[in-house]
Amino acid sequence: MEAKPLIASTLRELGWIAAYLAAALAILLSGLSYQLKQWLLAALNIAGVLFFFLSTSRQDIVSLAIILAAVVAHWGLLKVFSAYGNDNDRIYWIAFLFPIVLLVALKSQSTLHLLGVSYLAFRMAQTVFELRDYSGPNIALGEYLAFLIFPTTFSAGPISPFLYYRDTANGATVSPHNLGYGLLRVMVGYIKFRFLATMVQQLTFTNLWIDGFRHGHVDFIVSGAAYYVYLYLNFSGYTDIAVGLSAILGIRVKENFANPFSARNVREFWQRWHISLTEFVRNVVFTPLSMTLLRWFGIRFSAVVIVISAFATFAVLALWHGTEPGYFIFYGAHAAAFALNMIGESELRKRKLLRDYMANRWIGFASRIVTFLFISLTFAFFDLQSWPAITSAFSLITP
Amino acid sequence: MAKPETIAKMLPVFHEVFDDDTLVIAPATSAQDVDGWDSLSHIRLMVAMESAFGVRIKASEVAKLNNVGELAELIERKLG
Repeated sequence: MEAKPLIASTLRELGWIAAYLAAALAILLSGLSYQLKQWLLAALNIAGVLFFFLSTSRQDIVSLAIILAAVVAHWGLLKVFSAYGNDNDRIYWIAFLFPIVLLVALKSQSTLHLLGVSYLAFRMAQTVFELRDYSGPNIALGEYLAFLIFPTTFSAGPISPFLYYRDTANGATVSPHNLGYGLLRVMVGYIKFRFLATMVQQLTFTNLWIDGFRHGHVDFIVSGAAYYVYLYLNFSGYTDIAVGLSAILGIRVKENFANPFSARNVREFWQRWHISLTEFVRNVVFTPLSMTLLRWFGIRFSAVVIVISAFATFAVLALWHGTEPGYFIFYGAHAAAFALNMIGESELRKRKLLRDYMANRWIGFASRIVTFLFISLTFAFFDLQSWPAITSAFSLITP
Repeated sequence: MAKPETIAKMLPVFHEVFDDDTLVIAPATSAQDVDGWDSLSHIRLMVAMESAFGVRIKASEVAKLNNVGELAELIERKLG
């Protein structure tokens, strides 16, 4: 895109975002009741999502209508769940699985505009968790709509908890400090998302390897590393914008990244990368599955349980992305490394060596480099995705 | 407030799960105080407690516990 149209479209984009924020601030700072504010925010958010992410085409209107109907139906299920004291297993599973089944059903068709549906489903399922775990906030329909259709987190998360929203979406946390912090986060995110990510993307497989020349082995790692850095700049930049825009409104949103490049092993990487999704999958798959398997096998077989649970959890994550082999290679390698790390640390602990191992600066330094290279290498497969792309990339490596 | 006898019955389970017979626990003991009390050890601990006390701990209850005292209170509630 040429400079002038890019600047013009950027300014137009920023203008509409500013208009949305001004309208949302006017609602939050008004003297209206909390529930009325939430209904107004819900209406504004629905209009915002339609404007920012969808269009007024028949297809998009139908998509939005289905989303809204699903939110209302799920709210009804939450009310039933709350009526039973949030402790009825059958209703819990119906309420929890409803958005997941809906997600699978919507993903299996190709006519509707599905942007944001995954994150919407995850936020709905997570709200059921929150109701059960924290003795259930009584959720009103207006605030549930305003929370789920919040434009800043609608299309790509984070999967921020409902309670974060409930605690801060009343206007009381709008402040000059949050405004300044929010603007700074938006600026940093915009630079990462729009400029730095675009520059680094030039070194990824899609760009570096299609120049018609053969490449050395190092280029494979360089492209993998570039994709890792690109993905971080792109996704964490988006998160910065989401967190920043929300902060301007005084609304707290969960952080999604915590210096992933400083991870000293794959397990730590997943505590720092796409945190909200990792925690969601840990709560939904890893913990219940591990507990069930440990009950069956006994805690003496923890190593077996770790391996099975790790592969099952990462398989779910791979399937969420799609069925391309590159995703399964990426997540399969991470599952293996994750399980090895857990078993290794357990053995070190038994031998009373874990504390020294973790405290050793040289081991820490070397571990970080090895982890970075491992993740870069596996991201190469994530980037290439398909078998033809993977084999084609390997065929371009200089013997 | 957790009963001392519950904490005392929990101690051998901690020794088994963390492979450390010198480990001492108190109601305020948390994951920060015990080497290797990570997410998996936490799950192993819960399952070992289930066997020791004959109770069933839900996956949803696992993440909510902050220290030994809260775990002891949860077990006491389940025992009635």
